[in-house]
Amino acid sequence: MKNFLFLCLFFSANMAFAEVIRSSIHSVELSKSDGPHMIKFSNGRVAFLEHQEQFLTSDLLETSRRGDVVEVKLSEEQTLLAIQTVEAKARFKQLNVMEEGVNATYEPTVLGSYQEAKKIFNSFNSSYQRSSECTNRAHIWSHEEFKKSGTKSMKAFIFFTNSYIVRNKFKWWFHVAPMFAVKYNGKVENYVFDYMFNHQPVTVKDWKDNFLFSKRDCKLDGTFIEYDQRADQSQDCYMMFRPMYYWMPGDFSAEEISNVQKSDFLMGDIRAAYSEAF
Amino acid sequence: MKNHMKYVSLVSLIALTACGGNGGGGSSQSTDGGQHQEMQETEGQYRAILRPLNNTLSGWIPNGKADIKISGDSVEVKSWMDDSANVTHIQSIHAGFRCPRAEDDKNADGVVDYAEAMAVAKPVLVPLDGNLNSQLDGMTLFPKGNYNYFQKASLQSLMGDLTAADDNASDHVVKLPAGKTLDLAGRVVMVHGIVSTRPLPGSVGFISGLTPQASVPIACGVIERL
Repeated sequence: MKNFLFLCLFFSANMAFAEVIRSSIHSVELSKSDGPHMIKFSNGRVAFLEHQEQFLTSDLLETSRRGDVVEVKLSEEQTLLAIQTVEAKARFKQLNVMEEGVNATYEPTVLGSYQEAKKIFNSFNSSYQRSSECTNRAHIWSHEEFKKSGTKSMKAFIFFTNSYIVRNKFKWWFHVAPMFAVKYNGKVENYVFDYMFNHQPVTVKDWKDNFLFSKRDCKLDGTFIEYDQRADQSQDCYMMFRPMYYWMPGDFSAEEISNVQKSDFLMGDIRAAYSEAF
Repeated sequence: MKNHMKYVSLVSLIALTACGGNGGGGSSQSTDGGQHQEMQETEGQYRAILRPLNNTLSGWIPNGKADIKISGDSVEVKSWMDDSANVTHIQSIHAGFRCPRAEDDKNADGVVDYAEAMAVAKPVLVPLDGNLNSQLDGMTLFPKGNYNYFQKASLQSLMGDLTAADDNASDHVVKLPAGKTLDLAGRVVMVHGIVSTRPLPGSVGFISGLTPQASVPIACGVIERL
């Protein structure tokens, strides 16, 4: 597929400190007021576009629809400085191992102790690439542990609302990490194994508080479609838990729209995750 | 190299005295053998995953990695840090064996400051700056912003400097006690620095000569042998 230069813009902002990221665009959320527009990338990152840059928004919407991979330069404040398409292609939905209408209850393995949990945590693959995507790291860590020991884990997804992102100029719109059920002090509790950001397994609350500066609770009973299309902006975040086979937010859409659930790891997902993250 | 030869000679002298002076050549050989043994034990690859500390201060979640490779006399340190603050980041290997935690904020001002962090991580052993062969040389050359860092050094030079006399016992940089090895595994790497405009409580401690913002730790990792 031919690469072509789609549009290259240079703003007057200071280019001396610019971060470059590469991803397709998940969505472009146009501001209804004078505030900046928000671009959410498939890799979880967020960028802001000044409200007056109207001529670019239709191109961004089209790029998002096509699923083109773009390379963007961001300022320290996550403002879009430059953008160009690096891979123009239609984005096909993966043929997942998804079973229609199956409501099989997923039973995660319960680890016998916090010591066992720490041992698994400390065995996670530390050779991840810089700027690797959280989806890919989490997927490989879950998969490798499952292959090694048969341990069935979960994924903890946290989705940040636009109001939180704008208020804090936060870099991400979502983050994900493996989650394991652990028997600790006589009860079973979920612990998140975010190897990149924590020194040990932590409770869901502690994990959430790492990223949520407000320390408020997240909405737990929302759907992804609700978050994606009409999130309650009085909330700071939504949190969702899924079986370890769920890789990206796109997997939620398939589940919620078509009632199909992922019931196994897809080797295509695994290969893509390894290739990007390790 | 000079410092190393002085070190070997001193150890030889002590060994000779301890053994009653017999087999001086033998003592020298065992000292050289001991030095070689130490270098062999130190050889290997090490890694510290740098996880965020005080992350609410930087407005972001700084994270990174430090890889250390020791092979023969060669020491290579490679590190990276993802942090949106375009500021100088002091990074160092510390003498301690634990990263600071939120509970180490003893004065409860919401910040684990430099002094509180040092109480846990202990003083600096190896500044990861512009010159690894010397603790004090190169300390104006720390990386900045979203950084990639790479430096090489001679293990003999590094150890010679680490075991030399401490000219300033009251600063935050410490030497290795005589006879001690580098023992990287388990030691801590810490990174410091947030934007200068970020307000901090007046109770926040800092490195002498620097601002509280330049001093506050933002990431820490425990070195593991791979």
